[in-house]
Amino acid sequence: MSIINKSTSFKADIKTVMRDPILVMFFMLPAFYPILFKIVVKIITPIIYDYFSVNLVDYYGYILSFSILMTPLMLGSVAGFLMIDERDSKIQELIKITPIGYKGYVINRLMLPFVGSFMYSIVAYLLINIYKIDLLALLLVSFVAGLQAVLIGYLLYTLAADKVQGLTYAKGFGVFSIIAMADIFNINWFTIIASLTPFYWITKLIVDYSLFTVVAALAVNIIYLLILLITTKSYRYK
Amino acid sequence: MRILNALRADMKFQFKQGFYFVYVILTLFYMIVISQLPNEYAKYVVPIVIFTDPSFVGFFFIGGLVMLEKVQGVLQCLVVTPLQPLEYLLAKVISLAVLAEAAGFAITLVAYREGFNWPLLFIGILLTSIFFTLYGFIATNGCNSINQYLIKMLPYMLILTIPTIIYFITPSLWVLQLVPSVAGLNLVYGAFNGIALVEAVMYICYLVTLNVLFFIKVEKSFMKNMVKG
Repeated sequence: MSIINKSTSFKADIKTVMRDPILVMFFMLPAFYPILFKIVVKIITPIIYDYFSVNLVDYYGYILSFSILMTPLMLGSVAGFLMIDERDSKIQELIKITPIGYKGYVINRLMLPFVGSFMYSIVAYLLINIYKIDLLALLLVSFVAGLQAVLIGYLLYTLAADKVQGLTYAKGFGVFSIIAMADIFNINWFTIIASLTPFYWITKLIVDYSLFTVVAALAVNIIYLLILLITTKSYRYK
Repeated sequence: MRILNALRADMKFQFKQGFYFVYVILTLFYMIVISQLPNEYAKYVVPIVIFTDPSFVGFFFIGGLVMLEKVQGVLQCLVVTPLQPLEYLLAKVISLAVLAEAAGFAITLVAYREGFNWPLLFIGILLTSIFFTLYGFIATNGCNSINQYLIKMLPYMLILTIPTIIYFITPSLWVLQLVPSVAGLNLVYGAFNGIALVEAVMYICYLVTLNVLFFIKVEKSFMKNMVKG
C-alpha cells in the first residue's frame, strides 16, 4: 500500500469523524475532562481527608493514570463503533477490493485512536498537573496509551456483532481501569493477573518508572499488538 | 400473558447481547475492590457504586435497545401485533430493573459484610432504575440512531449528575433533594447508613409519583415519535 493511499484514507477517516457529531464529541471530550477531573480532585481531596483521614495526594499518580486511561478507552471505543457502523453498512466489502485492502483499512481506522490517544495523554498530563513524571516517561505512557486505544478499538470491533453489543462491551471495558489500579488493592494474585494485561502498565510507568517497568510495559503491549495483527491477518481471509 | 412473553423476549435478548455477562464481570471486579475496604468505608462506597452503576444501567442501555429495534423495523411491526405500547414499555422497564436488582444485590451480598436494610435497598434500586430507564426513553425522542442517542445522553446525564455531585459536597443544600437522582441516592444510601422512616416514605412517594408521570408521558410520546415518527 502506497503512502499516498494511506494518507488519502487517513484524511477520509478524519472527514468521516467530522461528519458524525458523536465521533466529533468523543474526539473533543478528552480535551475537556482532565480539567473537570482536576476540579473534582481538588474539591474532594480535603473532604475525603476530613471524613476518612485518607490523604488522596498519596494516590495522585493513580488518579493521573486513571485519567490518562480514559482517553484510549474513549477513542478506542469510537474507532470500534466506526468500524461496526461500516461493517453494518457493507462499506468494508467495498474497501476490501480497493488497493487499500482489508488490512490497510483496519490499520487506517486504528491509526486515528492511536494518534489521538498519544496526543491527548500529553494534554491530559499537562492539564491535570497533579503528579510529576519525566518527559521520557510521559512519552512512553502516551505511546502505550496509543497502543491500548488500538487494542480496545479492535477488541470492540471483533467482539460486538452490532452496536448494542458494542455499547455493552464498551461498558464492560470499564474494568480495564480497575485492572490498571491493581496495586492499590494489595491482592497478590490480582496484581499478577493485572500485570499480564497491558492496562496495568500505564500506572506502573507513572508510579514506578524504572528500566524493568519500561521493558515490561513495552513487551506486554507489543505482544498484545502482535496477537492483534495475527488475528487481523486471519480475519482478512475469512 | 402478552407482557410476560414480551418480558421473556426482552430478557432473552439482553442475555444474548451480553448484558448479564458484562454485569457478572463488573460485579466480580467491584467485589474485589470493595472487599479490600474496611467496613467503615464500605458502607459509603457500596451505595455509591450501586447507585452509579446497577441503578443507572437502564439509562445507558435503553436508547441502544430502542434504537436497534427502530432501525431493524421491529417497532413498526409491533404496531400490528396485540402488544400494547404500555406492555412494551413495562417489559423493557421491568427487564432492566431485574438486571439492576440482580447486580445491586450481588455486589452487596458478596462484598458487604455488615447488615443492611434489604427491603429499602430493593425499593431504592427498583425506583431509581425505573426512573432512569424512563428518563432514557424520554432522551430517545427525536433520535433515529444509536449515535444520536449517545449525543443526547450526555446533557441528559449531566442534568442529573451535576446536582448529585453538588449534593454530595454540600448535603445541607436541601433543595437538591428534589432532584430525582438525589432522592434515589438517599434511598440506596439509607439502606446502608440508616434513614428516618418519614424521610424514606417521602422519597418513595416522590419517586413513585415521578415514575407514574414519566410513564404517562413516555407512553404518549412513544406512539407519536418512535412508532409513527
